[in-house]
Amino acid sequence: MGPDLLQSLKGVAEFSGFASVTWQMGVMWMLAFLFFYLAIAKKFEPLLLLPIAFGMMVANLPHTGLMEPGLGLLWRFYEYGIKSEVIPPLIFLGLGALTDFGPMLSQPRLIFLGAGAQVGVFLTFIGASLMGVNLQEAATIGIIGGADGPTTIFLAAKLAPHLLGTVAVAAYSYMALVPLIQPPIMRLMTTEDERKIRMKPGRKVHQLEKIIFPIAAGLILILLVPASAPLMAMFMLGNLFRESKVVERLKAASQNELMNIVTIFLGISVGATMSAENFLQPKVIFVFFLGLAAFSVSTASGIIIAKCMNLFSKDKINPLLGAAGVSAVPMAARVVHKVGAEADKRNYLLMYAMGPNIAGVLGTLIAAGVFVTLCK
Amino acid sequence: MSETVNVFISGCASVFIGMGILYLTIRCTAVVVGRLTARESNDGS
Repeated sequence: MGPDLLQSLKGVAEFSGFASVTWQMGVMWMLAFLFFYLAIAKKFEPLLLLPIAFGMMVANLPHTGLMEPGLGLLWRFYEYGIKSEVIPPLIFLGLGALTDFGPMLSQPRLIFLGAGAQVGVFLTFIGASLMGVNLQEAATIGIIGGADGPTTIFLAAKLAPHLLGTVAVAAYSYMALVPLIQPPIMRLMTTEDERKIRMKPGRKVHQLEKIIFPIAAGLILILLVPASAPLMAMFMLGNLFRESKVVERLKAASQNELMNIVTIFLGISVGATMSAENFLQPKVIFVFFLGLAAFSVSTASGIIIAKCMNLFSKDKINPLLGAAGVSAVPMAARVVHKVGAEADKRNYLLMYAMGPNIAGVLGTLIAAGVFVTLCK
Repeated sequence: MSETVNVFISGCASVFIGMGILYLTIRCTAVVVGRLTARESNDGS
C-alpha cells in the first residue's frame, strides 16, 4: 500500500506541470502579474492589457499545449484570428462606427497634421535599419510611432510575427502613457505664445458630406495603397454604418458586441505569443526603446508640420494640434487640450485636435500599407 | 540602405499624397453639397 501510494504521488508530480517549471516561465508570470496590476489597479488600457496578461500567463505554463501548432486553443485563436487578418479589420469596423469625421471635415487643412506625425514612423524605421535590424522588423518597430494598436498588430503579424507580443504591448503601453510622454515634448517645442493661439471655428458640416466621405476616402486611399485595404475598407464601412443612419442595428453591433468579442480574442492571442523564449531577449528592450523614440519623434514631427504650415497660412494653427496627429484617439487630443489650457484657460482645443487625431489613424493605415507592400 | 531610403521616400510621399487628395475631395464635396442644399432651399422658398 505504502509504495503504491508513493508511486502514484510520483506519477502525479511527473505529469503535472510543477516539475517542468523553469525560471524563465517564472519571470513571464511576474510580468503577467505586473500587467494585471497595471490593468486593474492603474486602469492602463485594461480592455487589452487584462486579456493579454492572462494569455501570457497561461501560455507560459508547461505541458498545456495551448500554443501547439494545429492543436492548441490559443494557437487557433492566433492563427485564424490574427495571422489570417480577421481580428484587426473587425476592430477597425467597430472603430469606424465609433468615429466622427466631423471635426476633420470642418477644418480639412488639419488633415496634414495627421500626415506629419507619420514622418516620425518612417524616421524611426530608418533609425532601426541603421542599427542593423532587418527591414521587416524596422517597419514593425516604426509603426509603434503611429500609436495605433490594431494596425501595429496587423503589420507585426504580416512582417515580424516573432515581435508581435512585444510591439503590441509597447504600442498599448505608450498609448496609455500619452499624458506622460507627450506634454514635455509639446512644451519643449512650442513657445507660450504659440500655445495660446486660438483656432478659428470650423464650418458646419452637412450630413451628406459625412455620408460621402467614407465612400470617397475608401475608394481613394485603397486605390493609392491597396495593401491597406483590409483595415481601410472595414474602417470606412463601419463609419458608413454610423453616418448613413439607416442601419442602427449594424452600427450598434459593430461598436459594441462585435468589438468587445474580438477584443477578447485579440488580447488573449497577443498575450499567448509572449512565450519566454520569444520575450526574454535583449531585442525586446531595444524594441521598447525604439518604440518610445518612434512615438516621441511622431509627436515632434506633427508639431513641426504645424509650424511649417503657419509660415504660409493667414489663419495660424496652434502647433500643439500637431501632437494629436498620432492616432491615440482620443487620448492625444485630450492631452493637446490640457496643455493648451495650461497656457490659456479659455482656449478650447479639444474639438480642433480631434481632426488631426482622426487623420492620424488614416495616415497610420497608409504607412502600414506602404510597409506591407515594400518590406514583405 | 538604398532600399530603406526608398521605403522612407515612398512612405512619406504616399501619406502626403493621400492626405492631399483627401483634402481636395473634402473641399470639392463641401462645395458641391453646399450648392445642392442651397438650390434645394431656394426651390423650397
